Amino acid sequence: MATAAPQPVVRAGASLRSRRLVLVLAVGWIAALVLLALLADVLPLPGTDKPVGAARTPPFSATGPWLGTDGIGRDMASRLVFGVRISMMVSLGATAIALVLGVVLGLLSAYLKGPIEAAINIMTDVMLSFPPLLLLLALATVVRPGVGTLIVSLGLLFAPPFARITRASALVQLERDYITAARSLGAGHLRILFRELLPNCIQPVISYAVVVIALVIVIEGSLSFLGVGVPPPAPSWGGMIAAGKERLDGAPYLVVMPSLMIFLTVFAFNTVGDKLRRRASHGRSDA
Amino acid sequence: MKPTSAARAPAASAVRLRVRRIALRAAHLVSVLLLVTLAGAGLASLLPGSPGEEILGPAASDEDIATLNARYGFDRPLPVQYLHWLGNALTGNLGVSIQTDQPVTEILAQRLPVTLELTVLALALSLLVAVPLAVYAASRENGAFDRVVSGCASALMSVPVFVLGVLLVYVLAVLTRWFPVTGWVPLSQGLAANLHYAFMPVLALSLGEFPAFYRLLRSDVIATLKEDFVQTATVRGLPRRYILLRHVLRPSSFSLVTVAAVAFGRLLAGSVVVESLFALPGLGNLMLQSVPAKDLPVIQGVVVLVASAYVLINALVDAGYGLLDPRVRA
Amino acid sequence: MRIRTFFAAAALGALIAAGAASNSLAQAPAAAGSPARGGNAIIVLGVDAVRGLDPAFLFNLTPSGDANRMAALYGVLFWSDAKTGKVSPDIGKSLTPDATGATWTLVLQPGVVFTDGTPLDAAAVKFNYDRIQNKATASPLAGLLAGAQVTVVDKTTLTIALAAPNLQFDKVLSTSLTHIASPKAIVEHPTDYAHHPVGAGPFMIGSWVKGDHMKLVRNPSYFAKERPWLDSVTFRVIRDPAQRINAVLTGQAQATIPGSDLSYAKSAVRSGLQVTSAPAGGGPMIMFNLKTAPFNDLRARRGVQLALDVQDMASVIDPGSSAPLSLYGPTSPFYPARPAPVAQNREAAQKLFDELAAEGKPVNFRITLTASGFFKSIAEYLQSRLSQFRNVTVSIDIVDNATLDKRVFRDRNYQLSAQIVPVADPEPNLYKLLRTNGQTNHMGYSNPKVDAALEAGRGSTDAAVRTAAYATLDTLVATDVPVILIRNQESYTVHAPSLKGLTLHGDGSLLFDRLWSTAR
Repeated sequence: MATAAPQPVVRAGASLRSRRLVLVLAVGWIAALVLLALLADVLPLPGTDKPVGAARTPPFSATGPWLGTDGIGRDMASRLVFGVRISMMVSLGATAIALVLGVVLGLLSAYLKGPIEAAINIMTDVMLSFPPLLLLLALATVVRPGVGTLIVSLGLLFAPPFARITRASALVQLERDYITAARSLGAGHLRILFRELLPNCIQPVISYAVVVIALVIVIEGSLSFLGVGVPPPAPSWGGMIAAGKERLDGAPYLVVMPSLMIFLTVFAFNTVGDKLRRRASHGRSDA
Repeated sequence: MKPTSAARAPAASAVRLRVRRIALRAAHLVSVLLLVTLAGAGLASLLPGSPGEEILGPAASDEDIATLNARYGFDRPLPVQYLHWLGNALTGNLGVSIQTDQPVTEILAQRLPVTLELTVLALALSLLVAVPLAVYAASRENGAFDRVVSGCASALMSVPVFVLGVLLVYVLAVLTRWFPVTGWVPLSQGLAANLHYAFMPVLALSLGEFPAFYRLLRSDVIATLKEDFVQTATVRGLPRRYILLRHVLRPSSFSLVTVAAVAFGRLLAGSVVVESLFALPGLGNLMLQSVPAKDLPVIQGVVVLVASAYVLINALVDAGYGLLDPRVRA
Repeated sequence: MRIRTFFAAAALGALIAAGAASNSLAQAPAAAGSPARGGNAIIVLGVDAVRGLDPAFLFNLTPSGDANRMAALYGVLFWSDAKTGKVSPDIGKSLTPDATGATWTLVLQPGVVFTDGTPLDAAAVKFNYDRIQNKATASPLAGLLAGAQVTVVDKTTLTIALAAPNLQFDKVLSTSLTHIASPKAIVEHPTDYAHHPVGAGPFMIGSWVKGDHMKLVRNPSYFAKERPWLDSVTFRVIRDPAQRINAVLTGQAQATIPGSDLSYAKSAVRSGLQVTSAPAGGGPMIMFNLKTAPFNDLRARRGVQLALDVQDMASVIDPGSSAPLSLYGPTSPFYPARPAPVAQNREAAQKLFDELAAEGKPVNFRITLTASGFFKSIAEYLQSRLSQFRNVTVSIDIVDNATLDKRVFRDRNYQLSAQIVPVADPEPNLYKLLRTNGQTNHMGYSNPKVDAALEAGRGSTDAAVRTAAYATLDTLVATDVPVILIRNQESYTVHAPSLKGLTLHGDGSLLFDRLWSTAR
């Protein structure tokens, strides 16, 4: 009568098949994005800044281009495809930097008590309590807007949350027996940190990373309104949303289509991330 | 934390430990505040423009602008300006707004309750929904419920808060007239009215925070469910709901609590987008009008306030880690 | 029997009639078109009154900002129709020039008082104008009265002797020098008068919660005895233009000024609201910097002009608006009988671009604009349309307002930018825009023929002379292309049908003593 914590292995049949289908679609979407990003120049698409028809033509209309035109009359399909590059580059790049920096700092602050921990904590708190608006505006004046500076600055901005999450996980793990065991076996700090501690702290970090990816794509769009984002007319999904939000009542597809792209991408990352986690934890569940 | 062993030691050293910990916390708070305000002054000084240009307009002569700026102490070098401000701040005088001549403390006292209420309500609503959904979804990992809710979370992540806000306004205010489009009624004028006006902005904010809370808690619960003590409890015949709520939830909450604290800091610094959309007289709107005008006293005031609140919350969270999982000492 | 019934009926009828008569004085007429006292209006603006309300510092007449607040608080000496620029009296009774326009005589209505009891007389007006001229005040309006001599003649008369004759000075005064503040209040608050304003307008400050709302209540000593009709006017601020309209739609407010975009007007009308608008001339315009490459060469400017389809530009950047066919608005007396705008000619444009590239002066330039939706669209539109031509390269620099002010308006460090210059009457805005060294002539444009035409228009009140001068101006601007107008200017206020009596003046602000409401 006691219902056990469910074992995924027990579920079979239709559920398993549909799960596999979703996974295949997710991997397929990510692969498609990578291909589009690499091959965008070769595809038969009009230039992202060229006018191709009347402005604000909805998609699937009889006369206009396949996915419609944006507020200036440029091709939506072309801008969505080329937008993959900037959106993916900025989001993946910034998230990667934030993740690496944050995880390292988080681990160190949990592991190395004392002044280093204090220093890292102070820096993290400073960054997390500082009004982001001021930071971004100041950044806009100091650095030339561009993909590189955007990746670095957003990466730095998101490192503290990763640091705090990692630190929280690490604090728990450090009390575990396997850490004590490793210590008593004479394992060096680096080994403990990266071979024992890190793999057990990484799970929430991965989950949060997907959230950050989506957030960065969207934030990059609003940044263009502060003059910090990728300068126009370079297309990005976030930028298209920001530009289209003025016309939500007349032409909602201007926002819906880039949001759909982001949604599919985030969903795909989440699905793949979950699958990888299950793979990884199955390997350890019998430990 | 090792309360048990310390309690057996002589009382004096236990007190010394307590005092030492408080002193460390205070030192932490002071360092953060100093750095944050220094950064605030530094970054604000990098911004283009000056009060003189803002007040006198683009047609003004350079000397007029310089004269006005001198009146506000803008001509002095940055370290001098900062130290002057710091000296005043330590005596409780946060200065006067360059734009409106109001004392900064008064402005903050007016604006803080609004943003604070928004923040607290948004976090509460978001957690109230995210926690049960995440726990249930994790317990039936990859079931229909899990996939639907995760899909919704992904959808919410893909839409900026502004768009969510506009949609809410359209459905809840313009179409149905159930809620007011903009504005704010302070608590002092009645709880019902206050909640009526706060509902849409709070909803928009909490929908924005929900995906992160949900995903993090879900992933932590899934991980915890695999641990030995869960298997033990299950085998011993404890009902699932009991296991989930009493044994699994607490140790899985670390990431959630951490991110909630981060979100608190971010929301308190003023959700500029939501406050601007709903015309709420909070800290976000204040920053929006103070930063372009380089109203340094106000900017510094907000920075100090938010940093203090955030450090406090974080200290509570750090202490809370020990409560969530007694094995941890923060 | 019948006689008694008749008398009873007559008595009853008389009673009813008397009742009805007495009621009609106390209540508002149901749907009649005549104003009556009572009612409150909430008006939503876009920008907060952070700097306070000092008329000496009102250099920005945009109606979504302080211009409307000042009109309510201070009233107007004279006002210029937002459509035609025609000047009408209000608190001021008359403003007449001498033969050459070198000296103007201003006569006030008698017995006007500020809300603190002091008189709005000639001495008060002189005090205000002297204060503007005073270097210590650092008023942005000082240039308008540069070198002028203001003399009090008697209690209600003063003369203004200008440094240079200007037969159209009334246009300047009625737009920028029309709000008079109480000298007593200014003296009492020498450094922060802006936060303690005292005027003689139809309303006075009831409560002002900075950052939230400003409630103005009827001024009982307003000079026009029955007005203002409304009991109070409350200003609120909502940044998002769509939300401003939503507020009126849901009854949270009675009027709002959504801003530059005309598309809001259409959606407002569709939702059942009303729009009072003032189509004028001028409006948003592309500015070339004539002092630096590539636009120091006329061919580059002509190339851009010929490359663009102005109708398409207007409808894309601001849906529902139309392209200007002249510098002047369709209701202006100077609107040409047969407007002849420059038609698009892509081949000719391409030839010019090729020619310039061959000479080693290719048309490569940077557009410097702010991130506001309207201006960003202008930048992206230009880049997009010009990308279809060879030998043209356009890049976009989006900056914040402070940087734009500095770079474009102060340092003239730009190649192409944009500004909004409404032109109701050609004076004073067109003069400021096109005259050599004019205040808003950020293009560095200088053409002696243009200067002559502007002086001719300023120096005459003869309709024929002015029409000829301004027609010349139209042709010269189309040929020299210092600016390209983007779309017809139309300032407008969106309001609930219950709010009536909206009259737009200046750049689109309201005359507050004429507002009345059918709602109670």
